[in-house]
Amino acid sequence: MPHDLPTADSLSADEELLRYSRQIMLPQIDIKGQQALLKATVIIIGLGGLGSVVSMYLASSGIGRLILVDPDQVELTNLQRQIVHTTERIGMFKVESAAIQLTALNPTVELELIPRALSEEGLIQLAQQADIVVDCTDNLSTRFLINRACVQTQKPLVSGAAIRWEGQVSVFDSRKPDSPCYHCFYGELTEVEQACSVNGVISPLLGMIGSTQALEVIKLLTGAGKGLVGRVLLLDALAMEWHSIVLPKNPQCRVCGVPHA
Amino acid sequence: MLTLTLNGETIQAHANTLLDQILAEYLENIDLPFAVAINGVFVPRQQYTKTTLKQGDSIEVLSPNVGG
Repeated sequence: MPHDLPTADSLSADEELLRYSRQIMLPQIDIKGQQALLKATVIIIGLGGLGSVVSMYLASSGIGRLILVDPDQVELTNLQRQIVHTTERIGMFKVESAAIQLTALNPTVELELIPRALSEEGLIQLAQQADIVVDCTDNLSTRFLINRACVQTQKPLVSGAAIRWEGQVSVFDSRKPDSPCYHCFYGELTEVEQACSVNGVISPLLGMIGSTQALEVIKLLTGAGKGLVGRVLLLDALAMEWHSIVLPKNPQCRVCGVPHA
Repeated sequence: MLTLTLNGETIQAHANTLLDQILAEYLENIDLPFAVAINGVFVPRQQYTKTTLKQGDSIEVLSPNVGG
């Protein structure tokens, strides 16, 4: 997109080092980790409450290329929690509104904007050019579709959800033979009616869950620490307690299980 | 009798009671979507009719979260 801000090409290597210096000094990141982030392509599906936070932290951390997918436009009721958008951008496509904020945060990040819902085929094609897919959507059928595309393309899926005062994060990594998929967890459920317009959601919860998703993306890309594969992290914000459950791969899973002969 | 916990509440059940029987007895609305973990390990739905409980087991019924 055209703008007058500095571009990746116009920034010197020194400026890039300075921008990311506070994370490069972490031994788990170092120059090598930063280079991995700068080379990475991450798809963020849903630029609502979670996607706002995920996209801003990933852009500021220097992910090379972000692909933003959301068919919706910014509405007044979004602004209480969808902090990548602003009042004057009501009516704009969310991906376009987000792009303005992300470019202001870090003009060196390359953005691809997809202001429509993707079919499973479309997402499979898109996922093939990405390193990680981040699910920030708000409904079960899209979450199932994203999961199927990630299993088929063997792309790690960083999944987050938040409603009311409750949050949940996990990572499903089809590259690992023992990793469960999203279908192993929720596959037997039918559609869950859980719009924020019906249930309500407390704003900073999106920050906690979205930040956790962004952190897991950085860990996956740099190899830092221990990931969330095989665990679902649950947050009860009213009690302010995190706990995790172990999620084993379901060998009978219709999406990721071994097909029967 | 077995002493178990269900979402932190103590409950009693006969030995050899299956997980699906416990859920049918204690869940207010069995038709609402939910997921289950026993002692912090997720239990796939296909296992509900095959899973027996043992003394002290902690059953956690989770309501699904798909908000974004």
